Amino acid sequence: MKRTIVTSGVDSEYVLGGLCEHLRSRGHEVIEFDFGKTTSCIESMLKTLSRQQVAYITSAHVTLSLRVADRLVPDLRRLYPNYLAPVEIMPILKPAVSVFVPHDLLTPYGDSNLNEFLYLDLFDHVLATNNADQLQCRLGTHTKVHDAGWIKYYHEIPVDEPLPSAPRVTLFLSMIGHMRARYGVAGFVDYLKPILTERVQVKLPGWKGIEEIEREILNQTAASIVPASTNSIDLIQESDVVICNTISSILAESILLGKPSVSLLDNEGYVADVKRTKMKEFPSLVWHPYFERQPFPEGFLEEIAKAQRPKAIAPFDYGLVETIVLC
Amino acid sequence: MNMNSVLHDEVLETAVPSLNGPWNDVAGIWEFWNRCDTILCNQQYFEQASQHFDPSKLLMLRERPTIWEIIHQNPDRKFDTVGVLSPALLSLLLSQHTSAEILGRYWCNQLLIWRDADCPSVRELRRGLHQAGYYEIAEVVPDASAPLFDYSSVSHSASGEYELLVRSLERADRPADEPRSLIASRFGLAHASSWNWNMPSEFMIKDNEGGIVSERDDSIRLALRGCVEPTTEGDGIRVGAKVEWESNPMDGSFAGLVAAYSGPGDSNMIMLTIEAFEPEYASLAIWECQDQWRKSMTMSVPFRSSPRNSVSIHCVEVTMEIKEHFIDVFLFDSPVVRLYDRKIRGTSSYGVRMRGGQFVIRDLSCQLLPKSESRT
Repeated sequence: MKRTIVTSGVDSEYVLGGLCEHLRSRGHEVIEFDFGKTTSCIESMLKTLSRQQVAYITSAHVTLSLRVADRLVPDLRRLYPNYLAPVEIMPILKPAVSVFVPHDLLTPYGDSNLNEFLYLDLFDHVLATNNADQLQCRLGTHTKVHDAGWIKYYHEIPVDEPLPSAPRVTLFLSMIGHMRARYGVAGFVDYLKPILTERVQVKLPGWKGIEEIEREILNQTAASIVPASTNSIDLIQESDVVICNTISSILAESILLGKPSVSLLDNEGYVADVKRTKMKEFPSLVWHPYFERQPFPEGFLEEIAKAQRPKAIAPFDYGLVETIVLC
Repeated sequence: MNMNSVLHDEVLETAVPSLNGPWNDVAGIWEFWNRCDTILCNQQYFEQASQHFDPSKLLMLRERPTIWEIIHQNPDRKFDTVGVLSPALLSLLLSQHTSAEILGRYWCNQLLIWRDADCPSVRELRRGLHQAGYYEIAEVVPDASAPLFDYSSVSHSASGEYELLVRSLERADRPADEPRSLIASRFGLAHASSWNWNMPSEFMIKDNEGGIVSERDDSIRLALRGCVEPTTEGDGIRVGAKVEWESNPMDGSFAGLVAAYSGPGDSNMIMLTIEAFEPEYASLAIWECQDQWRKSMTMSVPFRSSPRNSVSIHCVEVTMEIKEHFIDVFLFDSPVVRLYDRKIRGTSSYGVRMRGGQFVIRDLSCQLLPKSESRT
């Protein structure tokens, strides 16, 4: 019996769109629940689907339900009132096979504020970005851990050689909620103004409500905007230097894709020491002290751009997913 | 003697001669314990447990079990519900949270725990289980006047700290050492559990064997399960149960099975009722409520009788199937009537609607019927 494939996630944490397209092109029936797009409760739909043979694939935080979010990220309930976490979906859907795909390369199995690691064994398969063996040892024998590559990295973009004289610099803004709450939209942009020069293009995540920040950047600074819907891995591959306003999965992605990467170092979000600790697995990361909101020194970006490295991560293996869901 | 007192006496005087240990608490939530796939039990409770539960589900533990010993008895991982009727095991789970983690990882995704007054505080128990990877823990409230999944906690932190949902504020200050039963689940409970009741009117009560009975008064009581949103076009629903009563007729009492409920309150549903006026026959009727109640069909049906504690207990087993354009009724698994109607608005919400204390509804079940599936 052919299995219907059901996926779930939310906005930029939903990283399964490309995979779904691929599976559809291979003749599979795929139903996507991106809670950034759903407008009603999906519970009854899940109950109906539970009568079929279903393969469930998710890239969402396993235990981040609205009740948990009320303590950690209260905005989630307001923005996504119909949101259901995988621990809530699975008992309704009763899938024949379940698959977890990380959406974050820095903390693929959840940050320290979510005890997600403990719940990965609820899935039949975990598609690790790398080091599958280590994870397999931790999860026991029921769950199969596979080296599947990075889900957002599914095709190569040719790199210009030699590098252009003016390196293409992309600033990814990952820490938004905290900054907006602390400084307001105008204050947030003002905070970044010293580095928002005309040579920098800015990319925000595809979250609800970021258009206001994009407009403010265009109004206040000479920087340009890359549409939030742009695939971040493609953009990283097309950039010569990647900058992020805090530690994030983007930096892990860009470093593993061999791109010179810079993080602002300040005490916003986390204190500076915590940021350094969280990125200790990525020694090639360059820190730019931003306590006094210093601009980049003259020639800094050009010098950094020379340090291109070989890629240390594999493209995602779509074929593996197909094999799993068909078994 | 009425039905309630028969059942009450059975538990108090016959089945459990000396009411002690967990039986006081377990008796109030019989339905939950009977749904466990396995019940882990200490020697001291084993004999009594054998009288109450399917013996094939019982596993007797030695006085100081190790977690691997327990896991070894069930080598294949299943997504089971395991009952813990063993202070020794509970103490093991509490002293080493890795034991609870191993139990969850290698055996079951849900624990039903009886915690006696000697065990550590409920707070400590919840924290330990959350720490071990149980996402949601809810108290099973034997007092049916409170919502079933009150006192539910969910956790996200490695320390097991949790957020507790307390709806019944009047019960929040109970003594910490009061015995109680908890369901600890690795998945979320609230959205999935078919054990969860929604009660638009005052809640009915349960007898000691998990049957549903109503108060002996004139109030109509309604309790529902499932989702009130419309089902997929063309799908149906099958609701069935066993309805029991004693020989004494009581005016105004009825037992109703409800299906396709869309509400709000006590309105918009289809109901199959059983009433008992005649000595040999029961009255069976179909009612439809679309803002107004309308009786669509009534007929007399034979019932079966059997003695229990010197009292004759009568029963019918009824099933109602609601399809897109008709309703089928089955008695003891045989079709008795098909009722054609205009298009019926289907939902997967079902339940019971009762008045008076005459009837007991047991083994209430529900199944969604895809358009292609047909029983007849």
